[in-house]
Amino acid sequence: MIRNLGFLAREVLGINRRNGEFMARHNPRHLFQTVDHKLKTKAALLAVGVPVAETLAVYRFQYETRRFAQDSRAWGEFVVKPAQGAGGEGVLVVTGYDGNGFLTVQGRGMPVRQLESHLSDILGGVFSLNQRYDEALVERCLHAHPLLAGLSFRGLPDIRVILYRGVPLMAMLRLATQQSKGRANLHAGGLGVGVDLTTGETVAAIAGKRWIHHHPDTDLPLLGVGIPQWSELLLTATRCADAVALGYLGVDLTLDVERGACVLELNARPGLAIQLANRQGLRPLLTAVDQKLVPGLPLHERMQLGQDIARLVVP
Amino acid sequence: MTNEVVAQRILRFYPLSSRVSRLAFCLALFLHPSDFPLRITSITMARFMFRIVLGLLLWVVLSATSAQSTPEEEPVFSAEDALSLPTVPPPAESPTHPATAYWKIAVHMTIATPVAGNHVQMLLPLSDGRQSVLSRRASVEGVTYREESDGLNLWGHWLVNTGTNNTPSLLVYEYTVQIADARSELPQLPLPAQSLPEQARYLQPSTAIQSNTLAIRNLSTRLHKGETKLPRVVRALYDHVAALPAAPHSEDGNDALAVLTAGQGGRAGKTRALVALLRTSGIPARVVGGIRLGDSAKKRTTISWVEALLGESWVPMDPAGGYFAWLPNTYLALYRNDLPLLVHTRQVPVEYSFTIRQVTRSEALVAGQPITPESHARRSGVRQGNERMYTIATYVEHPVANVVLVNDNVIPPVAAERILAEARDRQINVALLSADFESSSYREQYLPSLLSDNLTLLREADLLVVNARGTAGLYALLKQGELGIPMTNLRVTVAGTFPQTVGEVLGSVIIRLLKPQELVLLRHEGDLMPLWERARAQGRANIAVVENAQQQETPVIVMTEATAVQLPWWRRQVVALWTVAVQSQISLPALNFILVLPLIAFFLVIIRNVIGLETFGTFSPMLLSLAFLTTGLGWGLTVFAVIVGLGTGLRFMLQGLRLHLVSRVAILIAVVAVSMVGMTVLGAVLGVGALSHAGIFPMVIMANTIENFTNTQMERGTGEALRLTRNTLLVATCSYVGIEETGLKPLVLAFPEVLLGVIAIELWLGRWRGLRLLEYVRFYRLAQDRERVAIEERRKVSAG
Repeated sequence: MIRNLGFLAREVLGINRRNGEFMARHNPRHLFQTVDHKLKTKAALLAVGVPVAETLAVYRFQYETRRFAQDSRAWGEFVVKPAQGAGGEGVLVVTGYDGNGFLTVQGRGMPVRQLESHLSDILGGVFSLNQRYDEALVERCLHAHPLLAGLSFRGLPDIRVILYRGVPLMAMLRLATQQSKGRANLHAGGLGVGVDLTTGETVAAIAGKRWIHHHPDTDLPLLGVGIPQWSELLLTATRCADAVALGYLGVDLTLDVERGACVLELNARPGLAIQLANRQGLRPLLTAVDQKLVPGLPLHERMQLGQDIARLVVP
Repeated sequence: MTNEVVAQRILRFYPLSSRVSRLAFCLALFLHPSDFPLRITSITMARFMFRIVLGLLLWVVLSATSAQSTPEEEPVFSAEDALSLPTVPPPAESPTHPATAYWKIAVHMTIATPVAGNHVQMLLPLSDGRQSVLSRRASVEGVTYREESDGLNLWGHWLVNTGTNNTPSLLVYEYTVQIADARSELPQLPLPAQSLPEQARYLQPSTAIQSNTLAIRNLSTRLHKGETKLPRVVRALYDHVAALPAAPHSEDGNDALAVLTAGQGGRAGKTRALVALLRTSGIPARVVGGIRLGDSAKKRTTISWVEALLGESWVPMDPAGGYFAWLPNTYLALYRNDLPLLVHTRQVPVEYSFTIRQVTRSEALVAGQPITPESHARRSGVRQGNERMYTIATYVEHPVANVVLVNDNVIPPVAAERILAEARDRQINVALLSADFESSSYREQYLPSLLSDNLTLLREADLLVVNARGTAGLYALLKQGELGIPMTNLRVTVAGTFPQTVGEVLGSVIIRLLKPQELVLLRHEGDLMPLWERARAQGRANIAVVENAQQQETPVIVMTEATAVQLPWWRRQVVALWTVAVQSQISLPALNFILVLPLIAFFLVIIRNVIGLETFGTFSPMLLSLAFLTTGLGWGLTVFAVIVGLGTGLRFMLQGLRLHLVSRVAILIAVVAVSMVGMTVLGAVLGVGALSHAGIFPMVIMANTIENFTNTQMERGTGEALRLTRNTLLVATCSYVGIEETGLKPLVLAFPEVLLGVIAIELWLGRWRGLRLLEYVRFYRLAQDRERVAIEERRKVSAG
């Protein structure tokens, strides 16, 4: 018991240490706005050559929403998002147009007028948590690689990678369940599946607080699955560190069928459950990076360093 | 054309003095012509409304400022010529040493032709700071008699049981009173006077007191002469009314407006005029009815005077008699407010008269020994604020001691009877004062008034015993210090559940303020009986409390002025500081409340950063626990549940409308406000003090909690939202228990340096990076897993 507690105190990263040591030191407050605003994030990522979902249109002013009906004809499938939304509110996935109105992913019809007022609401800041006037962006729909999509119960599965000073430390595949209603967030009921950094194979999975072997809805085995194009995914994630100068960063990315690795979102305060999904505490990894990292290390070597550390530290 | 140009044009053609043009100008400044073909989206609508509000705000500001500079065109009360301001006769000087007089009064009422069911009710005197009713007795032959209090006044009801074949029926009510002609202190408060919501009715106009008319308002503004200090304003108003020439009684010209307009009036008229002027100035005031004693042995007319609420005490003044802030001991108050003295069944003539006789002290006390054993004690219940207070007393002919016992629980009748019986046996005068309180903060608030309402009793007492939970007893005495009442001849015993060190510090403050002969602090909980036994022994055998207590092995601190000096240097500074604070009318309980907030924040740091419970924000749990400290835990949780429940229900209904956060929160605040008002009224009706103080709950925090709850519910699910609510309440409850039950609250008052220690710990905790307790639980399986793997590997190695 005492030995176990001592082990936890040595190896596991807690909120106090994450906030007080890593975020306070490596994540300056003024950089948060880049990751909290989707358009700014995208601009920063494109600048260093990280692929992101294609932006079809951006609406900044109320009068522009009138253009929407005309614009949308060219798109087919698309997603409408508030630029500063949180918790997935205000996100609308449209799968097609049937002559009367748009079809949403829930299979509901939606007249053009209603979609316009949705846009207008986004611009007014109804969905943005800081209550400022917001911008609405329309993105092309992403489709996950069939192997990943098959693991998830609806929704878009994504991969969360934790980077420390530009070195990848840990990765976790996040899957939606029936309970999470298409969202891959862990506290909404999604699954977290730990991924070995070197091989790209899944090593452990959690649902809430339980460790599991199979997806509760599809009953497919979750362990020992090799994630396709793993090194491309990891390299893309590592490259994100060049876009924003955040030392402690969470990258959410997915594997699109057509375009390959594609970054969805950056997170300046990534959660700590990834340690459970990987059956591994973060602290030895963080210490190893501090010891071994030479400043100005190029991209590939940073990724290599992350994989080496993972191999060395994980028994 | 921009809106500024429009505004300038309006300004050119119409002067700003006209109300309409002012409104047009203000709106034109903010409204843009392009707003008018309104596209009805929520955004433009909100912007439009915002501009209108801006315009209205500017209008209000402009109106207010121009009202000060330019006179209104409405009729002005015909000023100096109609109401000449003559020189004021100096009011009678109050005596420097209050003199006490004892009176025996009998009221005889005759019902000429009594029939069963006939009914008479009469207002009866109550004890207050000036007067004490020592005994009362009602004739009960052939009638059913009961007494009933309406919260302010005491009514006696007589109901004739049997028709007594046309012989007139005589009802007699006798009482003995003790009246002191003490002077009221006028607190140097600024105007406008602050008043509690329960005093709002003393500001309302009525048919005879037309405090809302412009004429009276203008007159009072003129009489203020720009004074800002409350006593001076009151004095100016009093001087004006007192200087009005007396006029013969006339039935129709007796209201405030008529008297002030005519510039003359009778006694009742002058009283109403002064009340109206005070109320117009925002000072709670009321009419007091009573009789004047001493000038004739038989009379049947009542007189009226005025009481104004200055600070926390009702200050008497009689403009017709020329008394300001004091009344001679010949004034007996019978009732408050404009009421008829007598109410009886219609068409049954009732004759009544007062027979008045001044008596000596010993006579008065003998008179306090009525005939029937049941009426040995007088028991009268009066509601003060939301609390019910009782006084019971017994008086003997040659007392060896005068004891006042104050208890924070209603004393059970059996115990009260026993105490009174024992007191009579041992020739001790005893007065028992008791009241029920719903939470510790009410106890601290109202226990002091239980003492200050019975000052005449305290003046004569040799020994005062205060038994109250927590530090309420100490606070009650401190409050008397605030009122500047010395208790030089009194020995005081305070029993309560305060730490000894706290008692030493606060006790020293009491000694400095009240200078009692001796102050005994006892750590004692609950029952009054042991304290009474101690007091009895002391009164009887004159055993010092110390020795007596040592026999009973109770921890006791005895303090006199000498012991207060023995405190360490730093502690003496704290004592001096609080003494100054109390002398400057700062309430120590209120200060204590402020000092408690850092402690609550400290609990929050522990619970969030060390234990790891997530709550709704940082301020919600803190302010909630403050609210709990006021209302008590049970009612606090009830109020919280009701308001948050209602609000959340509404919030879900609003969800479909997709409103902006700001308007959504504004609507929630409206709902929270309405439910708070509802609960306040309900609490007042049901007599639940905690409920009627629902307003103590920080409204914004409640609205925020509702908002947080729904947001969490939508983002992270109902379970999570309920979990956070539970944690928030848990933190609030923990800090409530930690502060209320452990005596930490008085501790910060006595040892403010505790906060330095708290800050030190918080500095250390802020740099602490270890795992939170709940994180150990959350990640424990990681360690277990590691252990299992290690065991398996060892097994493999040994097998291999």
